[in-house]
Amino acid sequence: MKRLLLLVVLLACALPASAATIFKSTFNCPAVNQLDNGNSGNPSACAEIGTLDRAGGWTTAAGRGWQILSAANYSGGEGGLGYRHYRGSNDNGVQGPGVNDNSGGIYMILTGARANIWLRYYTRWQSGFSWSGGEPIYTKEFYFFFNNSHVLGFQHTWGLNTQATGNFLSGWGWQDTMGGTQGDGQWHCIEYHMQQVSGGGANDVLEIWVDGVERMSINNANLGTGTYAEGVIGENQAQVVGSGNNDYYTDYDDIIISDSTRVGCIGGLSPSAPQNLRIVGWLLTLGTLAALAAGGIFYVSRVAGRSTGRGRVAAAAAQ
Amino acid sequence: MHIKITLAVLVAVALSLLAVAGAQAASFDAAVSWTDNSTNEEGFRIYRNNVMVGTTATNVSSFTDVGLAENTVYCYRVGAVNAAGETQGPETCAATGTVLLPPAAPGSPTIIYIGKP
Repeated sequence: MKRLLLLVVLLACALPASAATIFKSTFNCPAVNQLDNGNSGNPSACAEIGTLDRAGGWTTAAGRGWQILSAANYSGGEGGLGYRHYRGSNDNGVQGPGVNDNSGGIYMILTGARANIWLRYYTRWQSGFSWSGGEPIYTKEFYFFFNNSHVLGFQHTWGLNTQATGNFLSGWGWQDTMGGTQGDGQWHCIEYHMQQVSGGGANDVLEIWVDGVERMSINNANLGTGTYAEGVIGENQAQVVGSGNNDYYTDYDDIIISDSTRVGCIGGLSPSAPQNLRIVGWLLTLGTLAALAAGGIFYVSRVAGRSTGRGRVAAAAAQ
Repeated sequence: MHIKITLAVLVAVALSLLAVAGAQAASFDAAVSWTDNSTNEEGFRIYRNNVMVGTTATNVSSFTDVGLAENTVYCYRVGAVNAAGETQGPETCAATGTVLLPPAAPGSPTIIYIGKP
C-alpha cells in the first residue's frame, strides 16, 4: 500500500507545473548578443518553458545582430531583459531595399507539437521606424512551422499569410496601431490564436487581438496541416525607409504560448463583449411639442409627405 | 425640453390625413441599452458611426446619445473595457424620422350673417 501511495505521489510530481503553457520567455537571463563569440551568441538560457535557439547567423547590412538586453525589456512585464531585432534599410542588391536585411531571429521551440496555439507577446517598434509609402508591403513577425511549410505572422494587416494558402486580412493595419506612419515607440500587446480544426487545411480558426481588442476572428482559414512544434520570432521585411546604416529595431518581450486558453495581456483578460444592443427608443427635443399635454399625439414620418408612425407624449421633462 | 416617447411610437401606420401636416425641425436623442455580459469590465464605451460618443461606469447598461438629426441612420456599437483592453459587440442601426404635427387649429369661428338676423 505504501508503494502504491508513493507511486501516485511521484506521478503527481512529474506533471508539469503549468500544463497549458508550452512556451514562455520573459528574458529573465543574462544579456546575450548574436555577435558574441564570433557570431555564436545563444539565447538558450532565456526560456522558462520550452527552448530558445539561434535561427541564423545573418545580420543587417550594417552588421547588427539581435540582442537580448535590458533596453528591450517591457517594464510592465516579467524578467529584466527583452529581445531586440534589427531591420535594415540597405539595398542588398538582390531584392530591393530592406529585404533580407535583418538580424538572425530566434527559434521558439514548444514543449510539444500542437494543433491549437494561443500566442501572446509584447512588441515595441522604434520611435520613428518608418516604411516606404507609409505601410509595409510585408513584415514577418513570426513563423510557425507545420510539416515542411510555415505560417507567417504579418504585422501590417494584423492578419496571417500561410504559405501557398493565401492571406487573411483584417483591415486593421500598421497606422491604426501606431497612430501614424511611423513607429510610436510604445509597447503593444499582441495575441494570436491559431487552431487547426479536424487536422487543419480548411475551416481553421484565426483570431487576433491588438492591445486586448479583437481585430480579427474567422473560422474559414487554411492554417495548413500538421501540428506546430516551433516558430521563429524576428524575421525579414520590405521597404524600410532610410539609407546606409539606418537600421531600426523592434523589441519583443514576455512571450507566452498556450495550448488550451487565451493568455491575455498583463493585467488580465479584456472583458466579454456586451450583447443584445438595442436602440430602445428616441427622445425628442422639440419646443413645439411642449405645447402638447401628456397624452397628446404627434406623428413621425420616415416617408416624405406622409406619416409612418405616431407617438403619444408620455411625459414632459423639466425645462 | 425633452419629451419621452416609447418604442411603440414607431409602429408603422400610414395616415394619409396627415399628408398636409407640416414637418417640424426636431432634435433626436437615442436611448440605447445592452446586456452586460462580463464580470470584469471597468466600464463601457459607446460608439456612434465608429466614433466614441460616451462612456459609462461598470455595470451600467444604458446610454442616451443626444443631439441627433432627423432622417438619419445611426449605427451604434458598445465595447466593454478594462485595463487589459476592450471587447466590442456587434453593431445595430436605426433611423430617425421627421416629426409631423397636426395643422394648427383654426381660429374662433366668426358668425357671418347672410340675410336678416
